[in-house]
Amino acid sequence: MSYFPILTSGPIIKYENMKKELYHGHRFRLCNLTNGLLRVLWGLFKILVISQRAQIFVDFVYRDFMNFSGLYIFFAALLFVVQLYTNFSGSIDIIMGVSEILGIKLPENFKAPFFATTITEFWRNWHITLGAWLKDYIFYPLLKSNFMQSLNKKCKNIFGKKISKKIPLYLSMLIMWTLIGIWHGGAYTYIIGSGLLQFIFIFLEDVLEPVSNKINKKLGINTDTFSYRLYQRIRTFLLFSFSMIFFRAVTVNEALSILQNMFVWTSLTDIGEIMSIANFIVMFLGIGALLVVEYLMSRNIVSLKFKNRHRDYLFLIIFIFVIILFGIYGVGFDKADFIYNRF
Amino acid sequence: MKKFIMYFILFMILFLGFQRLVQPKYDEDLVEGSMTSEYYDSSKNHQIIFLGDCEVYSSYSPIVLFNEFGYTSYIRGNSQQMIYQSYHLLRETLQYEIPKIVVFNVNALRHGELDKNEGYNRLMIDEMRNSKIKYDLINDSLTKNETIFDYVFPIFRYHSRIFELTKEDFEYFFKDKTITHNGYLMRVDVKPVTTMYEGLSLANYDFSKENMEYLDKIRELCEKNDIELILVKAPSTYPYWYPEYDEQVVEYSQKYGLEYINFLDLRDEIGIDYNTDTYDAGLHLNLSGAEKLTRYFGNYLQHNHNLDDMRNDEEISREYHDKSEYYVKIQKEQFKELKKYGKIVMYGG
Repeated sequence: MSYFPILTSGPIIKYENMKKELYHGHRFRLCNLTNGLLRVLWGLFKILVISQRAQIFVDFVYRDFMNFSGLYIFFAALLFVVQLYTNFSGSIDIIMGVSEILGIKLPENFKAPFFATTITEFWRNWHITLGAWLKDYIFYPLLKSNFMQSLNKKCKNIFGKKISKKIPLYLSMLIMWTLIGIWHGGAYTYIIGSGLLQFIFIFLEDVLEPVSNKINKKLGINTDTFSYRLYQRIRTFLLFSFSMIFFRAVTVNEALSILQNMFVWTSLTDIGEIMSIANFIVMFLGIGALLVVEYLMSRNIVSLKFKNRHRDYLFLIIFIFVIILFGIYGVGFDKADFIYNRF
Repeated sequence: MKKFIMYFILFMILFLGFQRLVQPKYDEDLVEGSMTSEYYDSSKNHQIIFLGDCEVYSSYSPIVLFNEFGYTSYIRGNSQQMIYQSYHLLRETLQYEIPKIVVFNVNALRHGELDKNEGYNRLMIDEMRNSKIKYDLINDSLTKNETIFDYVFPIFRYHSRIFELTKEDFEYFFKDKTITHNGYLMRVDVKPVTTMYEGLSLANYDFSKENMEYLDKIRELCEKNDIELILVKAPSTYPYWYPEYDEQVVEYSQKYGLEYINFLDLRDEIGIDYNTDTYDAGLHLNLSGAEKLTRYFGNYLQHNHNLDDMRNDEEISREYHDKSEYYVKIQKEQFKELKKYGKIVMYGG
């Protein structure tokens, strides 16, 4: 906990796994410095170029949600997820980068979650270290508890072997997801947004998987195609964005009103009054670049490693100027606000 | 290593290039931002240096002072220039030249911490040359929430201007336009004084200890360099110059044997007519008022100080000949603008 680069938001590390890294002597290595700096810059890019812009739009719409509807709210809901991810993963990138400069390797906390095809997979790639901690200290102990074991036995006589196995599993999951909601702040909005809705999605994915497989088979849908995976990714992103409406809203009633307003058609004709069109263009180019880089990194085609080649230097220089010129920071704006620290 | 150095140089060139690009140019609009830097291009042969706020850059015409009296002078004044800023600008000036006389306008003595303003700071500091003095000046000028870093590397303050770049940013990328006439910002338009303000009572009329310390520093710096220091108060009708303020300056000048001229008290003698000699109802003098005051002050210097007539110097005469032509040209252009638009448009706004 006292290792300074780690914020309370993560990555969550176990002392046992990290003691060797922390107490082992680290010799200065130039490659650690350059790679670490590159990682820090990547984090700054996410926060200053993307997240801060998304925040302008999201705050504007959520602050005055009664006067917005249709596409404005839909767009704000999507952008809030982008804001949350780029802010949180960006701050983690900075932590990882600083640690790398010091020669300390920390576990990764995100693995391209927007490329997940299901909510289950999404959570495997989002705040990975928290997921691992919750599994180790809550989920498995609960599942293996005497209560759950006896519940399993009792249910076996009523529902049969297959279903009775699932009941303790779902119950443990429900408790764990409720605790995640409480961990995020305890308000009902967090319990619903980051807890119960996530449980419902994962539960439905598990329960409906055989039905979905049957339908796909009957309709002759080839699920092993790019377009089908794209559909799954978009569906996952939309579901997560939907749940985050509750997470972002101040009260549950507010979240319900926002949802209600979303289905009143309004086009985005006055969008330039919230943020200049140039800023929207920069934000979308930034999101595009982020998705491309994360996709290529997830396939090990590119990495954030500085290899002393001419193109590495040029990329580094361009990257620095993109952040300096297109980042939102300084007087007139709040300094990059690591929003995840609030929880 | 060779590769690293090569790309580091490339980075620095781009950094300085982008920094210059996004920094406001102060050539077509907010021209007051050009005042500090124009001094660097002037030939450093000034017998008189004026120091102070907008009251100096609008009240004295160095061109008239040369043409009619043969004195070379430069105004190192900026909008709301605080006394510590005048002190640092004097320090900077002394690195280039040692004048015979420094004329300090005392209006800045009234300013306090609350008068610090980023906008004015920026106008004064942005185009100042990098030096230890600039660093000291920034340090004294910083307002709450500002950092020295933002002034030393203005790219971090102005980066969002990348979306607001105009033709001016490219046109004046390498070379700025000349705005002032040896620091004098000309205005030929007229807005008469309609009300002579009386100041509201103040709880405390004392100049701050810090301001008086900086006045001491200016005086000591002048003494050290064998420069005569003259304190002046320009004949601006507002903000109101309280008699209590004046008493403190009189007391100070007597204590240290300095000359102090309050031109407010001499306005009839000078011939200032507030119906024709101000462009903003009494805050600043216009060209007519500034020329009257300059003539009066030139006469005063002629009678009380032993300054050489530099009109005999061929090189300087040639230089001022060109400056005078530019002075007349701008004057004519401003009258044309007044006729065409009803106001001066060459300074933007």
